[in-house]
Amino acid sequence: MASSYGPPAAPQEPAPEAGWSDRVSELAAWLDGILAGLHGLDLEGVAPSSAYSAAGTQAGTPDAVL
Amino acid sequence: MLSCEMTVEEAAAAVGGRELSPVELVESVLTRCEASEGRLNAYATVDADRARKAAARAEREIREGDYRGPLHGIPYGLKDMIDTAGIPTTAGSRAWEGRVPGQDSTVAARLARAGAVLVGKTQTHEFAYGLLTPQTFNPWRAERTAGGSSGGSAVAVAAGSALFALGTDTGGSVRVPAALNGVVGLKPTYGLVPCVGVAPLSWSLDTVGTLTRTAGDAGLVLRALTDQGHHGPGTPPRCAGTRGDLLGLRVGVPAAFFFEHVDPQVEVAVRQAIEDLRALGATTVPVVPPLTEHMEATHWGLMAPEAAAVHERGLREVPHLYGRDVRLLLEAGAHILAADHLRAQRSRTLIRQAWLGVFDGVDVIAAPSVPLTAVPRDQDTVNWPDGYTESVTSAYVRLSAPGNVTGFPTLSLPVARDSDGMPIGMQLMARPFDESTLLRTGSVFERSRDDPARPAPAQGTHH
Repeated sequence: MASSYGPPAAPQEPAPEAGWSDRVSELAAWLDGILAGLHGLDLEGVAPSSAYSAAGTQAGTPDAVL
Repeated sequence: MLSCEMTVEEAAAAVGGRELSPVELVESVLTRCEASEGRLNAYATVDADRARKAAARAEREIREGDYRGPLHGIPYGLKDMIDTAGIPTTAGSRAWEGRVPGQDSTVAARLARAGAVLVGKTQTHEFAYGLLTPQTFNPWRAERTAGGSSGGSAVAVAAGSALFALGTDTGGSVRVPAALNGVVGLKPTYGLVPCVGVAPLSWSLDTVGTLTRTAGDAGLVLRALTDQGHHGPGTPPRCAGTRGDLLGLRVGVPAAFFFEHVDPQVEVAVRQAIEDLRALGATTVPVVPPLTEHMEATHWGLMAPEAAAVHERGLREVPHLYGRDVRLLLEAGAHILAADHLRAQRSRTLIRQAWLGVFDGVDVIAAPSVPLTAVPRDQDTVNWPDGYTESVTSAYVRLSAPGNVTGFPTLSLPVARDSDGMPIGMQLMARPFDESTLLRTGSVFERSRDDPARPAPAQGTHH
């Protein structure tokens, strides 16, 4: 039975040029290589920072800033 | 001096004192637009009729005693990522061609409430995903890049076709063009300025910032952006300070990272500016910025998958309407695993904690804004003397990323020019919500110098 959570239909538009998917794969591989650098970090006990905790956002008020 | 060449502080004093009409001021800016836009293309849309009506309204309000404060009647530009009711907002993309928002973003609404006069929407690198703004030209040398992604905003301020402008900064997109065009760029603390109604690039990094000719002007604009209506009209910016020195200020001077692979002219100019801060009473303290070896990975690990998620529907439905460079980044970003995105978020936690520790010993960190000045528009890579090669984009983002990954406020100031006359920027970073220290330091530094913050020549100096 088909899942309602399946991926959307593939784009109908043609790829912009021959070899496009290869270029995407190359860049994705480059990003993977960059991100591999984080594997060596000791992150035990470290929680992810969410969008709203990135800089302690809620701690400040406009009056405190200027 | 033409009124379009004034700083916001100068114009506000003249408008508030009824020595300058907002109508005259806006007309001066529109005249500068007509003279420079064919050469610079800072704006995607100029709405002169609307600006003239708003200026006439401001003039009438001020004449009737309803002065709203220092931005009342001041003409400005908004990056085309920021929604404005009834005015096209296309994020520099064919994918959003013809899009006209039904309501203002929060920042546009706050500037309207402050009485500022919108001139138009400024050019951006498509969806702010790049650091070049290729459709816009540097006012100091047309053959050099304007930088980006808020290139149109920086150029408008640098050229006198706006007294201030807003941009967005996810990886340096306010500070990079500020440095390359010789204006002041402020990236506030993450979350301080609302992003409601601003096209996202990366939700956990995006920041709305200011482009101005002085740090004092940045303070005036930031006050309006963070003002939630509780202040009386004409409240002076407390950031301006009254002391003319920097006694007691501790300036951290990076012993690593920020001066590596930096053009010698940029390094000399920034180190001289740091010496100037010392001469004004500051003390310098060597610091070692921590975990910098993980900055690039953390930045990409956050930005690339978030940007891909932002544009998931657009890539599915109208991929052919995206520019090739942006589409490539978005499609590659969609391949990043959730585990890698979370690892980047956890790395950000570590980096932020470590950088907070640095600020136990200093009040600001001073460093080059970008490693090199505006490069020729057709230059793709930078080759350093030790053999290290990087793309121009990587070079421009490299020193900016810490401000975004940590979320800390960062101010870029023009401090000198290179041998070709191109501006050199110094960035100052402070602990979260300490914009006041950044702006006071910048203001004192500016006042100590004898080069007033004036726009580029109207007709340009080089072609």
